[in-house]
Amino acid sequence: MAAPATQQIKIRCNDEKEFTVDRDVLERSVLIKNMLEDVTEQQDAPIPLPNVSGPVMAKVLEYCTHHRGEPLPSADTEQSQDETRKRTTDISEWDQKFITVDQEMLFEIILAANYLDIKSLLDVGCKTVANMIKGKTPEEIRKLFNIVNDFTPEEEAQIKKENEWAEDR
Amino acid sequence: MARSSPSVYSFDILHLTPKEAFQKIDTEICTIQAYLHSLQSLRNSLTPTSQIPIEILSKIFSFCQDYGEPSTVEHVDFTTRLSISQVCKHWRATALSTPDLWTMISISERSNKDFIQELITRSGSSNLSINVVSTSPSADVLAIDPPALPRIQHMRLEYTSGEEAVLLIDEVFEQAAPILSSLALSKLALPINLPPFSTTYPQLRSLTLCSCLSRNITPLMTPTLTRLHISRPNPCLPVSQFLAALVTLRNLEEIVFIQCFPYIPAGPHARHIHLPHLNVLDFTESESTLFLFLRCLDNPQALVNITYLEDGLEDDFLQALESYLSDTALPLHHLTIFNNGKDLVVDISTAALQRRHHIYLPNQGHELPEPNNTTRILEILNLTDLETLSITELSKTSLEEIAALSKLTSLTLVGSLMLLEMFTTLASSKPGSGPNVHFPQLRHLILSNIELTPRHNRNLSRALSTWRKGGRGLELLKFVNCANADRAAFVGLVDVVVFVT
Repeated sequence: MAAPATQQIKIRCNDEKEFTVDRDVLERSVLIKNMLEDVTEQQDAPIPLPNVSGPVMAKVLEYCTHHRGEPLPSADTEQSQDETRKRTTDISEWDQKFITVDQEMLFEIILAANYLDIKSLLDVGCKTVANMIKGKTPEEIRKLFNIVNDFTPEEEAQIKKENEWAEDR
Repeated sequence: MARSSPSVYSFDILHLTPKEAFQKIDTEICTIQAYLHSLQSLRNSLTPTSQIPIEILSKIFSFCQDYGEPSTVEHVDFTTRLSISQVCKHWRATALSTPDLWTMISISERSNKDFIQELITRSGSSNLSINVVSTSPSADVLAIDPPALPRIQHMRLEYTSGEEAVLLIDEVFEQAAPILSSLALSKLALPINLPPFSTTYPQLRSLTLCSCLSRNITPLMTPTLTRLHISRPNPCLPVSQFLAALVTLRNLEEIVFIQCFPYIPAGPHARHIHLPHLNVLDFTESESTLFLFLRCLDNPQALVNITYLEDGLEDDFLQALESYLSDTALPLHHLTIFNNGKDLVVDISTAALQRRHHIYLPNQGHELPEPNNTTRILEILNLTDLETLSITELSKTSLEEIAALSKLTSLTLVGSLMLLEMFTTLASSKPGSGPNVHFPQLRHLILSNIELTPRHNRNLSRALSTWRKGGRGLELLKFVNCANADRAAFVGLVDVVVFVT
């Protein structure tokens, strides 16, 4: 007997790029899952996603496709998972390869994961940035993220005091 | 044409007195500086990290702090947290309003009280992890705002000066800490009339007592404990009382005994111990005591992790271990052996050790003859699936054996510059046989307690650069307590470089 056909859903990004995707893949996104649950009748019009561009959505879908079928975090497990999350910035090998992108795309993925409410992808993005930050000096972090020092002399003085305190710990 | 500087041409000072001129120029400087800072802030607002919502940046910062029970290393690593708060105005504002970033607090006599208070304030209502290292464990050292006490989840009190333990004053234990889940005490004398931990610390899961003096341990033994770590207890504690208290801890999952004899229940005179959840045993005693203890357990099948640390592994021990593992078929995941470099005849290639993911083989700095014990253990255990390894002194031949392990992903080199030299030599060269490269799957390299020279920084950097050019690279290079490690030498060569001092 043939397997039941998976429902296909169409989505449209802010650059008019459209994707037709299996429903279970799209439902990795809590935002889209809720949208689909709210719609009772079959709808042919694509779901508009005004905050995500085509290239970023393609990456997000790559992630969702790889992780399809995995259990979604429930509200009950959210807290304990948060505790686990805090203890580690480990990222699985596949996720690491997936998230090896340029900085602009990395932050776009984080924004998209936040908008689409894909917690696991958001965690992967945030952990990646955290790992980039760890062990670096303020100047190294500025250089990494193209930030300039905009502290006033008063703030600089406060920071200097903090550093002296920290040295005495 | 180049734009002219505004300060020179925008106003006239010739008709002013010197004092007025200074004032006017200073005012102008302030105006320009304010304008400059606003331009800098405007520029920063266009960077990707400013485009993401504050709560996401805050979440990223939260991932930058280690969590959990305090240990010396975690608490010393304060650099990242400070760095984050000193990048720019936006990052600082976000960092200071991210309580999770400030929950691990180290306190010593040298600590600035205002700073401790500042950290407690920054931690908001989050649970705290407090590490107190003191030469006199007075309440004064615990400069913790009393309203913060109920927020302490992990606490470690260590007295570091001198040989003798000193008395921990009662006040430290008088206040209830309702969510305290782990407590570690080191070199402290405990007051005899302690309130029962079951009432003051109802959530206590983990208790560590290192070189502590106590005449009455009963109040400490609360049934909620799942982890008990006892090392070098003082003989003033009655053995019978300790053993009676131990058998009440039915929820224990992990026991660490370090030089605890005769406080270990062992032999025919010992009680039958029912610890159904015990799965981790860390043991530094004579080998006979280990097996006597194991045989007292009525359900050793739950054990998946045994660590045995003792100077001088004897043949008898390994034979007894093999025999014991065969008898009980323990599903061990980890076996850790501390070996002081004596010659061994190792044969523990039992079916019980099917999942050997971690083996720790330090030999306390002895030069080993060839073939040495590490090679023998690797050979005899057939550790081809070894993924994680920590080592101290080794011969070159042994490191070559290790370099050929095809699944080794994490290597820790401890305390030996010679070892680092051998590693960089191997990492820069091609093997004569076996895999195409040395350390083919290595992703994490941790160097611990090694004082580097410029040459060693350079050589390691060169080796990693060669790896990177060859399309393979480390994900993590971590320096723990490594003097003179040159941060700049490894920029761009490794995904993440971490310095812990």
